[in-house]
Amino acid sequence: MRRDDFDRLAAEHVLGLLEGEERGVADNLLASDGDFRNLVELWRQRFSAWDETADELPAGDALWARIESSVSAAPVAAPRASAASRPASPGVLERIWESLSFWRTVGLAGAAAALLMGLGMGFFAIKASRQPVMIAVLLNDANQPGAVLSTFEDGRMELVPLGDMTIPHNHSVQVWTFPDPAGPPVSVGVLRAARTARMTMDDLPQPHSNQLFTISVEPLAGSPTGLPTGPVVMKGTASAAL
Amino acid sequence: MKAALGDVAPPAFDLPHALGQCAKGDRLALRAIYDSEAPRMLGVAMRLLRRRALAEEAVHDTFVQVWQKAASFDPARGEARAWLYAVLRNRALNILRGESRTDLVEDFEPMGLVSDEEDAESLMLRLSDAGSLKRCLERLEPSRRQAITLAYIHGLSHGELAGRLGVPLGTVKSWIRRSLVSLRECMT
Repeated sequence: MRRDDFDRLAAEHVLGLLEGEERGVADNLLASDGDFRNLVELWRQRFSAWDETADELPAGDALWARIESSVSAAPVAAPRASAASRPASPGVLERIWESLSFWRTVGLAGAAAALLMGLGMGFFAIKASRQPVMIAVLLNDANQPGAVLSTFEDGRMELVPLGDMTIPHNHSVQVWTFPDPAGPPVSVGVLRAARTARMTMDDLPQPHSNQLFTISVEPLAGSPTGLPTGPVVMKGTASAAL
Repeated sequence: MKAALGDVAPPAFDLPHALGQCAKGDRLALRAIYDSEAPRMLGVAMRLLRRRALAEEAVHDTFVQVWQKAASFDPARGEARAWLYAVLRNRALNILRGESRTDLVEDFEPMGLVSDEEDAESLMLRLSDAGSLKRCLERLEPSRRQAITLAYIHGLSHGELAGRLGVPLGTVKSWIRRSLVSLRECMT
């Protein structure tokens, strides 16, 4: 890659303009290339005067209360020994976002859920093939059916991908639903491979007719925030199975 | 008096020290960062995300990251405030890109988002006269300046910029690229 392209990639990363393949290239460079991280840092500094020009908005106690409860619920801070034992590079910041181990830490809950999901599969396989209560056909953004989701009376749910559902490298897809149409989405499960998956919705009320289900692309361990963070690639509403 | 207020870091609050305290598990230090920085962070996030709930989400997530990764911040190697805002911008842009694709799926009418956006020229006026960013942006043609400004401040994508500025996608991309070369030369 030419030097100019390299620098342009760094600048467009800071601007948030990278899409598709270039975004992946920049992500890899951030994780692996100190020169690239330095260029990114330079562009951050060049543009940082803009951040100072934003209006200050009242940040109330309610937002703080949410932060505090998330912090309390979050796993203990990353292993400090390892952070201290090796010299921090200028790219520490970027690696926060790119490093898998970080997402693992943040997504511990998600990973645990995925594990339970996996363990549960064998059990559910035994008593599969019962009549679904609700069925949702999830459409992709080309409006083609991308997956069929069935829910069962006992709280199980089965997701069958159709056609060529692809999951970006180093990512997962996460299934969400909206038990309350006006409320936030609730995670149903995380999938790392595009194959039939069974999940449970034990903690959720029995889905109602027209309940919305969506699938978003997320980091490998699932969304770090408990809400969709990546693009929504499929969506559909449930109907009663006849 | 050439220096504008925007150039001077807010007095007294020692962000690097507060980050160090966070790394030791001091919740009060995180609260102090919140009190000092969250209003401006919300402002930055609002310009990108336009909706209060989303902006709060971005700020919330940023503070959770700060708490978890404070130990990895090394004051010797970078400026604390820049670190904080980079985490925030990353988070906000991720939310924005995810959201805008959702909007696409929903045939969302993008015109509704335009109205409360500040245009590029009035955003320029907010920049300090003493800073090199303003001086160097002023050297660009207005339409190119606008493209860069809207991308950074409001998080517009190449495609959105093309739509907004009424030029083909390829033109926007080359405007941005040439403007970046010019900015780099001017600001080095």
